Amino acid sequence: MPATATSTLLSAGPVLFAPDVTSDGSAVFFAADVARSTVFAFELPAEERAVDGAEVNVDRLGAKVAALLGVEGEDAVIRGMTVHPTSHAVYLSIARGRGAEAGAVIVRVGTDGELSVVELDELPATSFELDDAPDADDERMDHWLDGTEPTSQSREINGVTLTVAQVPVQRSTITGLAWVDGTLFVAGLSNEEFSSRLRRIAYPFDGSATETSVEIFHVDHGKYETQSPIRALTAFDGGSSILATYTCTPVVQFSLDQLRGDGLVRGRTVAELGPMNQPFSIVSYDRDGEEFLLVSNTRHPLLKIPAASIASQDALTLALSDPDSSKGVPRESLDHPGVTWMANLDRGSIVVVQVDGGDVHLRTLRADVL
Amino acid sequence: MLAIVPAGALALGQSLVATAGSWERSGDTARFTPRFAAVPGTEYVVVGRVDDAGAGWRELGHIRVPEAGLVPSAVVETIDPGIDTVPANLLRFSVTFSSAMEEGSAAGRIQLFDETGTSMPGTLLEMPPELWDRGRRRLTALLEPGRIKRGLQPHVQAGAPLREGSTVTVVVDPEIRDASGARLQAGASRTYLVGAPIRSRVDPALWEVRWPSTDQNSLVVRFDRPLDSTLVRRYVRAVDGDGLRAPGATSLDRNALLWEFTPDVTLVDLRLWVDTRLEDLAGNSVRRVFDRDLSRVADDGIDTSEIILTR
Repeated sequence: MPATATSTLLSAGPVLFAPDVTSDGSAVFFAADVARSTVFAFELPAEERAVDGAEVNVDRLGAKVAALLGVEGEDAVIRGMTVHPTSHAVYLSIARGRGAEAGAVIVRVGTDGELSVVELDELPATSFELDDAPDADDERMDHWLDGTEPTSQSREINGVTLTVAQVPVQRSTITGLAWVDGTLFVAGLSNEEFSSRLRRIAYPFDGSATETSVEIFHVDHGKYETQSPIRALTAFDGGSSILATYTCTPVVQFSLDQLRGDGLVRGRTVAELGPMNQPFSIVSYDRDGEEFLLVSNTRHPLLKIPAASIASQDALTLALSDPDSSKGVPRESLDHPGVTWMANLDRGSIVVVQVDGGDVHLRTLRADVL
Repeated sequence: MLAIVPAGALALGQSLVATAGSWERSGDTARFTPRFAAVPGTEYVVVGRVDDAGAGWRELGHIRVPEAGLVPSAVVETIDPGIDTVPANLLRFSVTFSSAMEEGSAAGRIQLFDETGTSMPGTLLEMPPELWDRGRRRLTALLEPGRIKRGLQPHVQAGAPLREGSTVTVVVDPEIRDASGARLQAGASRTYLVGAPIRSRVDPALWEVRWPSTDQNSLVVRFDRPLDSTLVRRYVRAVDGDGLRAPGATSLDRNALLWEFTPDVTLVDLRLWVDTRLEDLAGNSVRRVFDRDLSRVADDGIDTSEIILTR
């Protein structure tokens, strides 16, 4: 439910700026608090417009963020990245510290390369919680009598002492945020079910969300159909289409129109990325008047996919063992190893977190090298 | 100009970034209050330079924040599934700890080993975020779903994570930290036999249901296969004729095969409510199979959110 937030983030997760700023220049910064299954929306004051062509490049970003936050390198981990729509400053979501000191911090990196801590608690904020709170009567009604259960406790109910096990409280973990057609999309993964609900949440938060079950049609045989939670997604083709990556590695297209209706949506698998690899981040950009999509991966190289080829790509239907099989849309492996997080500075340049030489670095990749 | 940084940051040299915080000066004393609490066991360095961009930082002193004296107290209470034989297409393990744990410390610290004791890399989904419950006591580890799902490239190229007829051992590393930052008292492991895969929908029509009678007070359900015990707790429920939860006591055996409900009061219209999101150990739900073979009619999904069994 929406609420005026008391907003210290408990845990770091994906972050996203809404692309449009208000007339006074303030911007909306969404931050997923994974531990609370909650998306916070902070109103940030206006920032100075970036000069044309400004880039963000920071060597040894990992060491610098750790130093800023007063921890050694392994205790500052990037969990999300987005770009301010006006200033082009990069906002990083950082899991800081360990044990009792563990927490979430947002670090701002300006186009001048300067790092600073964003003081979120001072900003106006609202929030949207994804999971329903447990029923108030759960404990009374749902007493489980498992002597075998580790969570069992003795409790007196109606004069009788019972061994009661509490049901662990479910949590939806947020894996990706995207802004599509004026709406916030939240992709997540339950710690319990292997479900593929994708939530569309109107902003300003009014408590309403639309959940869509997105079923996909898989590659290889045209024989199997399956469901999997979406990890990350981005809009393309002027906002009419969505390209999503799934927990079981396929890259799938579906149209925004499909999501407007009720019932199951079957997306088209347009590429598969192979074993021992997970898609990490996905963005769209323009080069020479043509739109492309970039997918970063945990093991595979950065992949570039022409957006135009997706529309004409038939759903993959043939077995890999079939000589006529296709691995989907034409894709090109780019020679930018170690790219993890990505976000658009603008339509022609992408800021990336790149692992290189034992640290991570913030680098701007312009369309002409993509 | 003074700054404080963790010792490791000195490697940044000229591009050193000072730790966030505020300085107060009083006479010859400068007091630094860090923006975030100092981390126990970390060495910090006070550095200074004349306020000139060209000048290098000079080390003025070292401060070690004492270890917090953390005492390991958390243990692994259970590793699920509770049953000893799991299907070859098992979707998830879960580990329940005795106290709240630190989020983020489990990555790579739950591993699978085969019958020869060899590690099985790439069999668990190794991607953040970690899948904890709200209390951060129960961690879910998914087997790589792309390798389980037939027809997908990871399955075709690397094969299923588990092999029928073999064993698999889940090993929990004691270096996983609890919410105070202390490691576990001890690691834990559990070995399972790997049985045949299960590739059909969970069908409540196949359950053996014994309703309360003059002979027995309780409602007893024997499932047709072991189910996911957490989802049974959430999605199987005794209800009254109005669909409201019937007061009573419920139990589930460790194998998640036998469910029993003893009502507090006798209800003539007792019913069994099942949410179709209920899953078995292989991720097959009442609604759909985990990976659907389009040529099998029996694999067709059902489009209903709940099933209610009546006497």
